[in-house]
Amino acid sequence: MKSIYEYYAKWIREGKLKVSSDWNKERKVKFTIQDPCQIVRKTFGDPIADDLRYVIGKVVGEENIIEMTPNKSNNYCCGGGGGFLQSGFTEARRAYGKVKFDQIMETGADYCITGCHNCHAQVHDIGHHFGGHYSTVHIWTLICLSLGVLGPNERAYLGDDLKDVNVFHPESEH
Amino acid sequence: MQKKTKLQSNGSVLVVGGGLGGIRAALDLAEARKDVILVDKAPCIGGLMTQLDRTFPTNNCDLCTVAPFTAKDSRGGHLDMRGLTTVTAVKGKEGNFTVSLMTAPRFVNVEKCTACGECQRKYPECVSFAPGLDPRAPTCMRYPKATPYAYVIDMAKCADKEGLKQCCPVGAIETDALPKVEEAQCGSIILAAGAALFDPSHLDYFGYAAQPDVVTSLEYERILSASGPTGGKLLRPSNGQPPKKVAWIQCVGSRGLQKGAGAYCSSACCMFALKEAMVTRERFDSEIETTIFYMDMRAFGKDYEKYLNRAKEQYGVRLVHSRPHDVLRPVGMDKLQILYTVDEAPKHITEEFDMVVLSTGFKMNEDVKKLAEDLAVELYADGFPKTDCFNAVATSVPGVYVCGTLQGGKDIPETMTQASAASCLAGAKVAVTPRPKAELPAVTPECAGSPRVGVLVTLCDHESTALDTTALVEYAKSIPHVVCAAAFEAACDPSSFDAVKAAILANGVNRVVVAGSSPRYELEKYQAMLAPVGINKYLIEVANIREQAAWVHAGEPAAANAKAKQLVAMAVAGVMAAKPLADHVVPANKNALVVGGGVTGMTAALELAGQGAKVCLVEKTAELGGVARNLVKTIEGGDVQALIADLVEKTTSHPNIKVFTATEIVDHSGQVGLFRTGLSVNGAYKEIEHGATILATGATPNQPQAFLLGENSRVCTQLDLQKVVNEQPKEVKKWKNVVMIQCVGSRDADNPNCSRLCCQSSIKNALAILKENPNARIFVLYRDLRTYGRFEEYYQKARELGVIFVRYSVDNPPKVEAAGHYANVTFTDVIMGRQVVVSADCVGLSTGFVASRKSNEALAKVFGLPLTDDGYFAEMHVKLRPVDMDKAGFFVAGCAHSPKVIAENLTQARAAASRAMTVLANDTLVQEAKFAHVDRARCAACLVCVRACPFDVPQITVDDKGLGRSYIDPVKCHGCGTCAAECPAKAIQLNQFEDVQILSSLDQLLAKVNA
Amino acid sequence: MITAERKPLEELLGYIAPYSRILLLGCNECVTVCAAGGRKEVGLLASALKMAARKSGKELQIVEHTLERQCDPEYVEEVASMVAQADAVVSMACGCGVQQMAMRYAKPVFPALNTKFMGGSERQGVWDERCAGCGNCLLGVTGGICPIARCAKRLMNGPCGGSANGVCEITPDVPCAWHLIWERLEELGQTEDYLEIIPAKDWKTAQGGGPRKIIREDLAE
Repeated sequence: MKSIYEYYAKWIREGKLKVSSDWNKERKVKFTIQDPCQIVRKTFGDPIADDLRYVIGKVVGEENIIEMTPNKSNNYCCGGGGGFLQSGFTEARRAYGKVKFDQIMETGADYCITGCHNCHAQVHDIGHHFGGHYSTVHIWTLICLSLGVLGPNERAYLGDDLKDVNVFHPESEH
Repeated sequence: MQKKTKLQSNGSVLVVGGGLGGIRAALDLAEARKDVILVDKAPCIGGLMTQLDRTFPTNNCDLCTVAPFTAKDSRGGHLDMRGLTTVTAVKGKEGNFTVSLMTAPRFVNVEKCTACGECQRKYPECVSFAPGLDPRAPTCMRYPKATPYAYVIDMAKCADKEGLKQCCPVGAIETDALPKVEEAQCGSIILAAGAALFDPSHLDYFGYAAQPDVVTSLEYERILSASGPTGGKLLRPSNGQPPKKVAWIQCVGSRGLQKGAGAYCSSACCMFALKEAMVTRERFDSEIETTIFYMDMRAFGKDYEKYLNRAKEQYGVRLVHSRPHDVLRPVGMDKLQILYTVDEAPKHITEEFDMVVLSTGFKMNEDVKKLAEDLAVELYADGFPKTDCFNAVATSVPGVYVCGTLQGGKDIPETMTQASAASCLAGAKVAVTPRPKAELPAVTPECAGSPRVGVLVTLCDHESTALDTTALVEYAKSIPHVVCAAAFEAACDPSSFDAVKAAILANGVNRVVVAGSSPRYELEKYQAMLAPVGINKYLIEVANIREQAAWVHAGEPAAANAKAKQLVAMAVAGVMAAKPLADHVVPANKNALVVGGGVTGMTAALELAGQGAKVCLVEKTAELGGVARNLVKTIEGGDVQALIADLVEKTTSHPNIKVFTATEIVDHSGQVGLFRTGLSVNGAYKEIEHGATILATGATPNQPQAFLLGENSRVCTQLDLQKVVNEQPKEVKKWKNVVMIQCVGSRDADNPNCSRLCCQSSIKNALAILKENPNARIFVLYRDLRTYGRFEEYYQKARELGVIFVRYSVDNPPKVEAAGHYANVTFTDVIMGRQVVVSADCVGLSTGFVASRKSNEALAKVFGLPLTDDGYFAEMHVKLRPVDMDKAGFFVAGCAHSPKVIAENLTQARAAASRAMTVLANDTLVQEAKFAHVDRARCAACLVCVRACPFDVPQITVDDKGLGRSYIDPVKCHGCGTCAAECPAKAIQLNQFEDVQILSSLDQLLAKVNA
Repeated sequence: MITAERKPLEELLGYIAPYSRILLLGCNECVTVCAAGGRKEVGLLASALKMAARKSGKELQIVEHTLERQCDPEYVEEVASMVAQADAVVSMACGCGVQQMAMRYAKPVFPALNTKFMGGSERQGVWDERCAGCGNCLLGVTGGICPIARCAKRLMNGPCGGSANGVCEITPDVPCAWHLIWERLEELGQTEDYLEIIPAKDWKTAQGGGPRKIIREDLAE
């Protein structure tokens, strides 16, 4: 059983996935990284967290990453997993997620990259609930963006600053 | 002289590692007159204990109890101690190993070096001796009075060899010394090289690598230690300020919790964290807040539960049941921040601390692992050696033994026990080597000339911060008849004896006062020193200025100093009135008496018999085997019944062992080497003579009235439960729910200590139940899960298999009620925050053991031995003499000492046998002048002494004038002094404590009043 | 043996108040056995007297000595020089010893003890009165139990009406001697002897006839 992060990293290293962070060289949009519990702490540990960071570094530029504290295997749980999002205990879930919100806010990053759908939903929700300034984006979104294949309808979670970057119009490609 | 058996070789025993375990094993062998080679790769011996400030549970240094006996001229020349030496190759097999030893050059001649320090002053870059200043380098620390007491030079760092050579005033520096390689023949090998400590640098969330105020427990010890980098002041490494709040985080590197952690429990960290916290509050500032973050408080050793209670109640150490998430130092903050949560509420708690101590566990040392592998010793995956489940010191290679932390994390008492056990087994393979005894100068029977008293102040400075030893020495010089007074620092160091002897000879001293610690530690040591300088060993008095002044009045220096002076003056007065008494040398009896025919007693008897001693094994009941007869298997799967059958067969058929069942001890007299004990063998009286005695009388499985035990058929003890599980598997298969309750009848007001073996016993039973019935739901209700050592791995397995562990607190215990076919157990689950009721098919209570108080008291009376408050036999020193008893010639092993598992009991049995052999190895014994005598001219034959003596020694006998007067047999007399105190005619005096000596001391104390 | 108990310290201090050099003399026989006047008691009393004197600022010198017995002139003679150096003697012997000292020496002799009775030990530290020294021992017909020493009324022929449950009416701690005698006679199978009447006692052989003397013609010179 493997995680896709490992393959992203492998493919990027092998040149199969030709990502580029040029789009962010001038823009210098800042990103922070969520470490999903199931993938990192519970299963593969720091090695997979390192792979994720390698990928993100290649996609947005290493200098544009701001780490949360603590991070990797020691990162805090966001509170969205384990059925919490579906549980109906919204108040409790958000209270639980305040710690993650504070963590993200402390980094001052514009975006939080979440590699897991539960994390994404939770981080997005607490961002809105507690009035954060960051946007929440999935790793695949950014990979596609940096590959230049992210279509106009796939940008729901990008902030205004990135809505029009590298838009891919398949109908207008050769 | 013992006959050499065909298993015994003429070689030595090689002991690898000169820490506490290695020293103990080597001394046991040397005392049993076997040759030992003790090697250590460091320049001086001492190991981990010498780097620690204090050790639990006595919370003092205690080095003085062990170190002096490693002096070269002691132990009859059997001990060959080599520092800077490693084992490079081993060939051969048991009975005939050939080992290659490489000794790195010291570049200093140990015989000549006086440790004056000149070379270090002139060339500090290449001469090492003083402990390193870096608190994070645990390997460079050696205690200030090391053995051998000489410097070491790192010649690679020396730029001016000629200059270095010349600077030594005694020409001890050898700049071109070469490494020496030597081969030695050994009959057996003991690996006592200790263990390494877990390095938490990679655990970034604890901040160890980044934060100077996060330290490991050993580093904290170094900071507390007088020989450490801060000179014994507790200061924060970051800013040199005293901390106000210190936290400990337990289980770092053990219990499989972190990357690189061992799956086992290191067994000692709970206790040493408690000790560090207590010492912090006691020695530095009782206002320093100490907090320990723990999972289970593993205080399972003898009387350790009481230590835990003292830490909580008397010292106010705060215990928080939590595994902290991290230790951070946010930017701009001076203090450290620990983030944690507690059972009661799922919220984050952040708390600030000045220092955080990580209680790091043990792990196998890589060098040692390599040596073990070279020896083909089978190891576990984590590198520690595999040992038999009934013999904790025997490896897979015959003739190679292990002890101490090399065998796995443990405390000092267990290390000492294992060391003696290893020396018992290792020594069995090696013959006694006769060596001529050193010639001593003749001792003048009368004290020639007027009294000339020498006062030796032997207190370590760090033991006595309240006392001004310089002023004390000056005062001593002013006392009439004192011709010399001096302070001898760190008298745990054998070389200070040379200075003492020199001072005695130079000043013509003929009576000695030692101002140091308790006579228990000082007397034997200094008496041994008096003979070579021609002073009668009874012309000595000890003034205990440590316990009785420095410690008990630690907070009042003025009062402590005044008292110390009085104590010294009193001792001088007392020694002036002392009489030069004569010891007698008598032939010693080399037989042994073992009391108790359980697995412990039988093992001890077999070890002794195997080494040539004739043993009487006495068992009260009709059968051998003891409590173990009720046990089927150990947790590792060891077959207990097969063990018993084997032991019984060997014991009853051994030509050197006489077994007496249905036999009680009825009377006893004599002293070590010359005991006489009366037995009642099935009612008939029989007297035996023996030189040593081992008590292995076991303990009694507890049957408290709790949780419907004895009233409800669903409720039973763990002992009953393991029988049911083994013998009635069909019954077990029907069970749906099983509840086990820990600490029933232990850790409470009636039985304050922990019974040690119940946690692993419950888990053993839980695993056995699940094997029969994988669907059974098992709940274990516990207070602290004490699965120490490798038992921890079974605990983890039980959790993986779904056993539910629920913590309960003493003030909210579970309830058990009858409910028809079942028994309902109600308990509170803290995490869920509500009560749970389980209808149990079986409720297994961990009832542990209690001392067999009645029979122990009877035996204690007959033999004249002390018991602990709990009713177990009291050993001489809880840490350093775990199997010796206060009374010479008596040893204790097994559950008679304290409850423990079979493997531990058998280790203790072997240790006791080893210690007993040090007595039985002697052909003659010195009968000390420790008895009372009657002045028959004064005796009124009133019978008071006859009635008062607890040992029934005085008798009215008719003298040659036909007068009936009291007579006290010096051999039988125990020297307790009761008769002397009671005699209305003042006709009885106790040697060494005569009225004139005591009254002289008192007159001195009350001089101002009498004047 | 003769049993005694030490007098209260106040009383003794009263006796020696006018004197500054005291000889405190113990006896190694009966009073040693009952821990009242032996060498140890001499030492203890001397300490107590010295401490009391110290406290009141009085000058007091005490010489401590113990004789084998104080009831024989030879022993008493041994301390002549010590008595010469003392202002007064405090004797820790029984009344016999005190008087022997007084007979010999023309110095004030004070008793430190109250001599009690002739008795034996019941057990260590407990002594009871056994013999009244009546001079005409009838123990042979009373089963070895003395009704003169042990019966409060000194009855000769059985218990009085006050005897109940084997206990004397004066206090429940004292057994009725005649009850004990009866039980003993039963034990010995001599209950017939009970019916023999013991005639009224001639108390002249006891203290009733004045101070008594024994002269052994074969021993006395």
